[in-house]
Amino acid sequence: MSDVQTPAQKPGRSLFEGAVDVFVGGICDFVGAESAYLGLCAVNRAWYKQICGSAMEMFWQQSFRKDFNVTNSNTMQKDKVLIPPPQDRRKLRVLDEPQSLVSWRSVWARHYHRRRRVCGDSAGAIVYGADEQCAMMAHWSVILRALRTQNQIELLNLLEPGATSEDFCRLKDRLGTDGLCADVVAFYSVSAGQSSFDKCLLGGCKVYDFHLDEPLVSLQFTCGVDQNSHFCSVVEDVGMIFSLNARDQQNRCTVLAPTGRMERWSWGHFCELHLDVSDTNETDLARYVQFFASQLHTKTLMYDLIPHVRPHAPSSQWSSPELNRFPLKGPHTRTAVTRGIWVQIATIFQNERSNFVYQISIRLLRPDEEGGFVNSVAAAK
Amino acid sequence: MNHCVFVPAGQRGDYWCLLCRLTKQQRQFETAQLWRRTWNITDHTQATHNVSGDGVVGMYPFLTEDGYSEPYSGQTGKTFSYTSQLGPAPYDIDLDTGKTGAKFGGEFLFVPGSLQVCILHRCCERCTRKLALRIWLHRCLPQSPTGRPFPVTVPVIDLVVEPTFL
Repeated sequence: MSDVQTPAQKPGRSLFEGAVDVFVGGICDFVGAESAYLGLCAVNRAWYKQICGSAMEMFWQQSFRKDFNVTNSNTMQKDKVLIPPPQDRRKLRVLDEPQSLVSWRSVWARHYHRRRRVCGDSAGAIVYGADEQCAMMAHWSVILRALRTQNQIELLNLLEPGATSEDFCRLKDRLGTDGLCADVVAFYSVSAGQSSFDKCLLGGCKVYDFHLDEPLVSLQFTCGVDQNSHFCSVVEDVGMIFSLNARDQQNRCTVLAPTGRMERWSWGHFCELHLDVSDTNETDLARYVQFFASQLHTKTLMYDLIPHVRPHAPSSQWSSPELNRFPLKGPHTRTAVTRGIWVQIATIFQNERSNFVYQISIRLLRPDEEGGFVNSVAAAK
Repeated sequence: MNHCVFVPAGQRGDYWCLLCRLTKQQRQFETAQLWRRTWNITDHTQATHNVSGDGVVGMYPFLTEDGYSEPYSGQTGKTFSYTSQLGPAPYDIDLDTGKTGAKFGGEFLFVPGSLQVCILHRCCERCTRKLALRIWLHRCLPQSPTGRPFPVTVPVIDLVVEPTFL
């Protein structure tokens, strides 16, 4: 795949080059070869400033297809209406262009930044290819299939820490890449393999209700892995995957938010957010992960998972606490009190579906609470 | 009214603040229950859309100082909270700040005391799963508030896309 350059990274252009751009654009306009011209613009980014309006949209769409090698699922990047059911894959091939509210420029920019973060090294070069990642995903699909069916537990022995790419490739050849669990694909599309997450906690939450309502799976006790601590949430409807890198006790949390539901997740469909759970402005997510970290450090691991693996470990009364993506304070929240009724609204941009969601909290305050019986607070100049 | 306090808050006395503290009797209710909601949604073209209806997401939280209970879903807790969707991000987003120009706000209409608890809801388990029937029952059956319904402000909030997602 070709490396991607932003238009801003292009060097300065001479007057002659600008004249050539206008000349070529004029010829294409004259002969009606708009599409060809936009294709040329996608190759030569210096020309994109010559176009505007709907042509600009087509330009960014073509750039998106070219730069990110998108061939059969491009429309889903823009419109959630076109999210297909996973079992009906034939419809993925041909999709009409929808009326969408998301600009292709935004889509391109998101994927550009994501690709650099997810698949690149510190210098921004692309390190992990799609094939390699698919192989890794296939390996994990075996594990999770076994966990689900519960009668193929022996397959869990296939998990070996630090498996090589060749191991994954062999598994891929044997199993194929169909039927992959979405969260496994999602995770491995960004983690680039187990070896780089040899001591981490993984979890996830569903898209809509923002609650972590799937049990976490301890891969350590299902797979017989040594002292590493692996947790993976088996979430069908992936809304967000988060992982905690507990190595060196850094308490660094990585949140991976997918951009849409795809037939097969691959690189570029996730953004990566970093949270420092030791930050004083801790969020619900940070507290949640911090709780996980404390469990790990005290070796009080959670086994409330799949029944047939529980006998290997003491039972726990712990249940998944609520995971809430909405902020409790800050610029994305507003609070008001009317006759002692406290109302807080918080909004977030749901990146995986390109829309906004809100959460409203309501409570009747006690007299001793701030605002409990304060009817009005007026300020005037 | 219990008392009012005048608080000069500005550096030169330019600003003042009046705190009016009410007694529980003057608040006029011990409990309250959500009846209706009205949303004022301003889209990125600054056009305003109003949406009204009974309850929120099919629920009518009953508030006390100890917490809330929702009679139809059976939920209880300290703070009633729910989540819903607003719609897609607009076409033009400021790629630097993430601002869309869209806003969201409105008000709730609360009833002092409580709405009439539907006996049929208690009797018929199926009622709790059918929103249309619940609303119909709400409208048709007599209610038992202890005072006049009063509005509760839902503050207006800007819809901003996190720059990380741009």
